Amino acid sequence: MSQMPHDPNSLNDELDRLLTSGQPDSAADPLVEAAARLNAAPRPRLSPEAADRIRATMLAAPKSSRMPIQRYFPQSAPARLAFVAAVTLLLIVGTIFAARNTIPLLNPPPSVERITTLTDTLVPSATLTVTNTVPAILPEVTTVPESATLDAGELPVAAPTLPAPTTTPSVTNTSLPTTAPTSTSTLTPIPPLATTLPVPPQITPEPTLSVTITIEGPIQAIDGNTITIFDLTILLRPDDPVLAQIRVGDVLRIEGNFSGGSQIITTLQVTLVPHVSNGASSGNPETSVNSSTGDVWIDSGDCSNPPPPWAPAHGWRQRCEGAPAPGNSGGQGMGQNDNDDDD
Amino acid sequence: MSRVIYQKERRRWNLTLSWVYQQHDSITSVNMDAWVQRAQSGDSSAIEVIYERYADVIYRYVYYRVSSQRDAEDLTAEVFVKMVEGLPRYRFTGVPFEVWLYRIAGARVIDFRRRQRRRPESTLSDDLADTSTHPEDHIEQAQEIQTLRQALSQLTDDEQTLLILRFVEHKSHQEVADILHKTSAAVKAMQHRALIRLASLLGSEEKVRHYLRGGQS
Repeated sequence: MSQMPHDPNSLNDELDRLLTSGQPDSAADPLVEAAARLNAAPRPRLSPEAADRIRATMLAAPKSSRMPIQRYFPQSAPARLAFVAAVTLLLIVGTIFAARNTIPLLNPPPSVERITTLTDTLVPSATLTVTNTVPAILPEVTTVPESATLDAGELPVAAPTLPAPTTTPSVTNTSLPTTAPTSTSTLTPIPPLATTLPVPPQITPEPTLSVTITIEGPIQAIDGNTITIFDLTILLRPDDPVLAQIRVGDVLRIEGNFSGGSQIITTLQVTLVPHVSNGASSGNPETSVNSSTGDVWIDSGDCSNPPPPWAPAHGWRQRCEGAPAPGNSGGQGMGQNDNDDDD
Repeated sequence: MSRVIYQKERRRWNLTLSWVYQQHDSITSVNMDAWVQRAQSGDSSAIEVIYERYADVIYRYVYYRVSSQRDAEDLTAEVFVKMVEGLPRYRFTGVPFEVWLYRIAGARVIDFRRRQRRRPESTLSDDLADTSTHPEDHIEQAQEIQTLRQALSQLTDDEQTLLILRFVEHKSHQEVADILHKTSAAVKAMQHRALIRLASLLGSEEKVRHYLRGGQS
């Protein structure tokens, strides 16, 4: 007898027939025969006792491994949708609430904007307002005064720039003659924090945050304790002894605090600069200043420096050119009718 | 007394339920999905229904893969304990629930064999201890079962699963393919290969060799 071996597909068809009818079509096929033996093998079942024992073991199995989220998570689709929507809504509300409360924390490091108001009660005061941003954690702000030297003939800078990296002085200078010291302090928690730090009134204001400048030049005008140099209004202390010595044309060296907006300087130190050559008996040479150009004429006393047309001669021509002084009719006999222009 | 009656009634009910499931094999996927959902929510009665439905199926599968009845019972218990523990994580993917159970059972058998290598082989005495109205038949059956077990144990795990499900549980090759995560063609090829080896192991080696040569003597 000869029999062609099955391929997997034909064998599977043969086995399907075996499983349906229970009898193999080709008993001579050893593969089908092996399958038939398995098919006819006993089909054991659990004994009732074993089944009860296994059931008891199964029901006593720990249920702690169940995930709580699954235990409480709704099973039906609408309930799941409602659950997800509720959780999403809670997350959105929570996020908004958290964002509102944490905005200050999310900003850059908290800072205090400090506004310093300086008020001098004894003199017409200059209000120096400096806006400064400093870390809020600092209990005090220590500012190193910057120094700037303003040479004669150099126009002052209206708003000197402080080189300190965190200090950007926004100078607002308003002349506020006050009679009583006023200082206000306000601290606003929302950045930029604005704080007006009080500064105790002093006769010589020494602001914590200040710019010291030095001016050296001839006096253009004197009005009480206010003098003008290079069109800058400079406030001297009323009891400054130099006030009794100076007059228009004198050269002063002044160190003070400059508030560029109104070009008013409150003085810290005033020095009268002596002339190199002094021909006058008073110790000060004759000096004239052209207020429009800033040119200065100084009578050196040795007739080597004739006065310019705009300057009063102060007797230079009489002295150096032989012209008689006005009203001096019994003089040297010459220039009797000379009408000196400005003597 | 009432407790004994209750247990007898319950056993009768369980036997009836098992008989119903066996008579109506079509009561599987759809109905079982509802029971599985209830079991996942912690319903003990649903867990019992699932157990009654699959206890013997899993037991037979395990029975032909291990060497003793007691080991088969212990492994069956392990499978259902794992089922209870894993139910919350079970997800409906369109695959019948029993596929998941067979995979648990297969993993348990492999684990059992790993443990078996470290201890002596058990004997057939358990299987022969069962009483029967015809002791001769029982001994003959036990010997046949032991022969088949011996032969099956020489095959790979997938081949054992395939042959047991296909010829003991009468699953179609497509159902077996689902359980084994293989294609239908792959299952057919594996079935062909496994039967060649099984036939040889069952003592038909010469016949198989002759058959593979195309029946030429």
